[in-house]
Amino acid sequence: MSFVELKDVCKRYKVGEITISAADSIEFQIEKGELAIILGPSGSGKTTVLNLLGGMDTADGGVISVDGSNVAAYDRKQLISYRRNEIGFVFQFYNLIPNLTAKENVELAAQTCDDFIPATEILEQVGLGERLNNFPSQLSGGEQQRVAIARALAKKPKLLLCDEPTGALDYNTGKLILKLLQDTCRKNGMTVIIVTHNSALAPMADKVIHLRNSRVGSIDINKDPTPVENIEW
Amino acid sequence: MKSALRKNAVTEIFRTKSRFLSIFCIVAIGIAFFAGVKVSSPDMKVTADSYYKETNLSHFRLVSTLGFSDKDVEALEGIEGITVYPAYFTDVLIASDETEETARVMSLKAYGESNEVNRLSLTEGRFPQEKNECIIDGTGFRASREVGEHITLLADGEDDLSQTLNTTEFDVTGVFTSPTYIDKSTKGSTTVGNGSISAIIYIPEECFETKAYTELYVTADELAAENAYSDGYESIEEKLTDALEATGDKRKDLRLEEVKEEARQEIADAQQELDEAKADADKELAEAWEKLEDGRIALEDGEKELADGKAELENSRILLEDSKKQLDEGRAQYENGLAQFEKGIADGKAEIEKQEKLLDDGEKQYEEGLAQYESGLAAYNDGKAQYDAAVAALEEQAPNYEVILRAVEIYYLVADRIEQQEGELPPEVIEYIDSLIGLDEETKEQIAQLTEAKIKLDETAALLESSKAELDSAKETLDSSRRQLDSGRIQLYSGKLTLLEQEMEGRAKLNDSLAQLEEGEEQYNEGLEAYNQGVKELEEAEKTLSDSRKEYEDGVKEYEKGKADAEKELADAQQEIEDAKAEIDDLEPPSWYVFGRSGNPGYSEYGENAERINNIASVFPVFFILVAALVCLTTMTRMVEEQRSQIGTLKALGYTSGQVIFKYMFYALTATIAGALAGAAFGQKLFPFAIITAYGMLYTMPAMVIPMDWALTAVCLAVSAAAVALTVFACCKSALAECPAQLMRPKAPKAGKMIFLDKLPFWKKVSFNGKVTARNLFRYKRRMLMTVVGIAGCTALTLTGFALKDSISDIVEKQFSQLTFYDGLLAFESGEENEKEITNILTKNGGDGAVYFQKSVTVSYNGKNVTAYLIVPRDTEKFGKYYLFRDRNTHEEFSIERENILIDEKSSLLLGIRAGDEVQLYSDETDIHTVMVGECVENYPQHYVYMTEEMYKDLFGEAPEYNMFAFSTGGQSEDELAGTLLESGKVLTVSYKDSLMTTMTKMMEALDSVILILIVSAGALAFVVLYNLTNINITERIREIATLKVMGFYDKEVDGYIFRENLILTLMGIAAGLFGGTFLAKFIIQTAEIDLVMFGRDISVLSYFISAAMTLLFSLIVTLYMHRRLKRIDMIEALKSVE
Repeated sequence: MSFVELKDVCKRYKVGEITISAADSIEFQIEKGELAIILGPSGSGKTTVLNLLGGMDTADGGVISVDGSNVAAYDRKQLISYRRNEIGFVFQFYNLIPNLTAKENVELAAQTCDDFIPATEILEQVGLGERLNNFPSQLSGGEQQRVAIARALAKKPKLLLCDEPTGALDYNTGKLILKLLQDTCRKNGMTVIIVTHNSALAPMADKVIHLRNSRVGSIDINKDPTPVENIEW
Repeated sequence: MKSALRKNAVTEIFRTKSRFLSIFCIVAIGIAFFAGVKVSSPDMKVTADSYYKETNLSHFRLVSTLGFSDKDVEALEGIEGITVYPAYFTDVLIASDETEETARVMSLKAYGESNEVNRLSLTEGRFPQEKNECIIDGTGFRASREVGEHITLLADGEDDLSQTLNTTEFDVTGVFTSPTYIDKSTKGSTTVGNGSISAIIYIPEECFETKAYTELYVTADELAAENAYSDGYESIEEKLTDALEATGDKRKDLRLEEVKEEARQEIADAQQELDEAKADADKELAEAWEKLEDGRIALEDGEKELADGKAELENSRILLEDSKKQLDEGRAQYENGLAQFEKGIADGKAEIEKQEKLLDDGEKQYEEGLAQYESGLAAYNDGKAQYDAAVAALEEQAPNYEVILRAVEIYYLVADRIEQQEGELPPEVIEYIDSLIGLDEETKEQIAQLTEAKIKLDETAALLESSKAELDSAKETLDSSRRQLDSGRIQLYSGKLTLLEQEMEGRAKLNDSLAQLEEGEEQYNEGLEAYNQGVKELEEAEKTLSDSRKEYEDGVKEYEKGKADAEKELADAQQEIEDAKAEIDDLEPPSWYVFGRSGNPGYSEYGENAERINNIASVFPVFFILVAALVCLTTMTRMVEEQRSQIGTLKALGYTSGQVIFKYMFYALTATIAGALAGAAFGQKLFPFAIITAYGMLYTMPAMVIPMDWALTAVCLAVSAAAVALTVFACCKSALAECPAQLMRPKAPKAGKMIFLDKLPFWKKVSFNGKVTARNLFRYKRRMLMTVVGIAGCTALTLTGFALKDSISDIVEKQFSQLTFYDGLLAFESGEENEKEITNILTKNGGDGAVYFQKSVTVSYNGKNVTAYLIVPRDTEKFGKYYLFRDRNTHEEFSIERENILIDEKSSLLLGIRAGDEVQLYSDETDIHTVMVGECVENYPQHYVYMTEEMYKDLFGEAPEYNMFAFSTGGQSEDELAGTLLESGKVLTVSYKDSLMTTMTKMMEALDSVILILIVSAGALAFVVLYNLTNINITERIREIATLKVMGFYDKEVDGYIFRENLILTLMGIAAGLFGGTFLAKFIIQTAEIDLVMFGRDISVLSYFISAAMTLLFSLIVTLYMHRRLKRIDMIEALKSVE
């Protein structure tokens, strides 16, 4: 059984009289240590899938198996624990607590679990060893995103979920961030799932899941993923 | 305007319901409170004014030392627009069950209806229709009085009521309320009774004897057009007062002349009357003397007649005595005869009896003899028979023995032969001869015996013969005595017969003489009775005569006294006339007193109370509304900030600034205007209602008039709308100044930065939550300040409410447990003996008391007046056992000093005086004294001035007439002691501490409802403010919260992240609120006080505690509610995009 396995996952939203299907019989597997990219245009349901995976939303049907447990069957409390202990999130807009320094932001996440990587260490890893005591507003976008990644990694999550991590960043900074993610995957064996609409990023992933109209269109597997440095868009 | 935009604006309201409702509620509460309290004062005044106008309450009341004549009235009516209503009044006492009450009696112009001025309205019954009917006011009397009751008016002391009233007995036909007397507790003061009028009575004008009008009620057209208590009213009143007084000056001398002329006329009349009376008296006296003479003659005749009767009676008495004597003698004779007769008869009878007895004895002897004889005879016969028998037997036996003897002799012979023949006898014969030897002897013996018996028998025969002879002689004797007995009996019978005849005869004779005697006695008795009757008659006649003698003598005395009296009276009358003549010359021109409406008890106080509410209205609601406004404005500011990206979008789409602003204007104005309207409408009805109802306990006012104050409503609307509009405009303007692109991007979050706390050594140990909280607090200083001020405001308002309550509930306890120590107060009829008796009663019952003098005085300083009780203790030391004088703050104790007075603190505040100031003191406007204030002492209800006896004597030139006791019961039952006291007849009223406390507590409840409104309002505001602030906080930080949730923070951790901050702000707000509230409360307590009562100044710890707890509780409720909201926050929605 794969590390992450989705089977027949459905998610529908009701807006007034109309029911919108945001995820329709989604099925895919991701192995431990893989870097997967979920690719699709706006409204294809990729964020929905990420939310379901991250335990931020509940599926209306199907099985979401992460490391052998069915997340789709979790109740509210279990979902919180799941997010707390097993998931790291990276958002497009970083969502750092503006009132805490970079180090404190990381520590804020770290203090929620027993086994964590010390903030200083992880920040050094993402290259922010010098900016430990800066507040988010004193950091650039890329730096903030790095703090966000550091925050997510400090918890030693089983799964790192990234929602358009480069969406708000310029080309070079974006690349830097992607590099960081790819390195994290390669060096630490972290399972990373990136959601993006940018198909140019596809070559850097081990597995590319194409979503179209809330369904899985196709799944490509790169035997030999391209390092980020070599990708241009 | 584009319809899409309009739709957007409307949708926004529904989308953010809670924010919209918050604004609506805050504005509504703020405006309701502001407008409500603001209009309460005008409403109170309007209610009063319309009542005054409806009842045509006079604008002035005029009294004069000489009363008024019709000419005075004419002169006054000469002033333009003035209408004069002359009337009468007098102050009297009314007998009550246990006490006397002082009442003012006023005149009703016509039967069956009220006066044109100061119109009364009946709450019960009807207006008087007869001369002896009256109506009473519903609030005055201490003892409850009802329709149908009978009232007797009494004069005070030596006054003569008949000069003022021709009727003093009245039936109560109705109960009224009067616009002149709106104050339920005081009706003004007077010189009669205890000095304070406790009730008002209206009686028909006809009942007044007074010639001159005692008072004039004046209404002025100019004043009728003004509203009561307004400045305009006051200035016109001043002007008219001058005019009225000027008229008074003009009329003064004329009136004096009038009075003098009247008096002279009266004196002339009196002189004439006196002369006539003199003549009448002389005539009457002469007639009386004549009558007395007639009486004397008749009396003398009677006396003579009586003497005659006496003599006659004496004669008959002597006669009676003679006959009495004779009768007694006859009676004695008769008794004597009767006795002798009885004795004779008895003797005879005894003799006969004796003879009879003798005879009986003889007979008995005879019988006995006879019996003896017969028994002798029988014995003889028996003896004879025995003898004969014995003889016969003897004769029979003798031969037998002869035979035997012969036989034996033969045998022997035989035997001897045999023996001789034979030589010996055979044995059988021997044996037989042996037996014969005995027999031979026996028989010989028996023959001897028989011979003996024969001799005896012969003797017996001789005896028998002699007894036979005796018996025969006895028989003879017996026969002779028998004959003697028979003759004796015959003699006895004849004797008996003779005695009987004698007795019969004698008795007849005796009866005759007895009958005669009894007749005589009867005659005597009749005579005696007649005599006694005569004596009795005589005595009666004597008594009648002596009575009439006495009568006559009394008549003479009376005549003499009457004569002397009449002479004296005439002389007195003459003197009086002389005095009156002299008095006329001494008469002074009258003084006129012109009183405005403020002379009516309660009138000014009511106005002042309204003013006081106005004072509260000018501070409290303003503060209230400031809090509300602050919260609203911030809410709007934040809303605009929150929606900057939408503003940017709209702007980018090409909408003009105006169109963009419209949406927020629409939102804010809809909430504000709706809230203001609702608040104004609700507040202007509720608050005045509650406040006027509360004051209704003190004043008799008709149903309140609560008009909507449209101007105020408009102002409220305009101001709140303008304020909100301005804020929205300012916020939007600054937002719109940025370019759309910038707007659409999230506003650069306010930079986080190190705060000074970071530099502190313990900072590192603070948890992240703690750090976040602290940094947040310092980061959003404006927001923090706003929250703190909002919460502080609400806490302060709540505290003020509780403090007001404290200050009121406090005073009863303080007054009666800390400042006074008596169990009761009693009023008595002044007089040393009464005082002693009451002291005795008190000490006998284990209690004690201190005497003092109390009367109403006016204390005046710089034109300000306070009506206070002047208290003069007899013994200041003893008085000190019941009253404690101290400074409220320092608790320094004072005593009454010789040189200056003590005055209650409230009076000193009202007058604006301090220790050492000199004030005017008077009970009569013509007798004003200046005294120095020694100390201002703590006291809550009423106003009091204390001075020593010496000082009183110096000031008023007379000794105080002690009339009150403060006493302790010594553990005795209050009712019992009160009963004993009142039974003594010396005590007018007894009031106990407990009932005083109850009365006061009741009065204080009037303000309680006002306070409740305050507390509830403040609480409501606090709640809404807290809700709103928390709501804003959450809305603004929703991304932060969503992030935490995504990171797997538990609900509790998320709550803590938000609420720790809130809690700190709330606590800071509470602390600030309690601090600021202390001052606000003090200020408001002072402005809210009524003149008669000083409120406490201390705020209890409990009030602080409750205010804080209430705010915390609201905070908790809001937190609980928000907890649910936080739980429901949709992380995905919140994080999806940046708005």
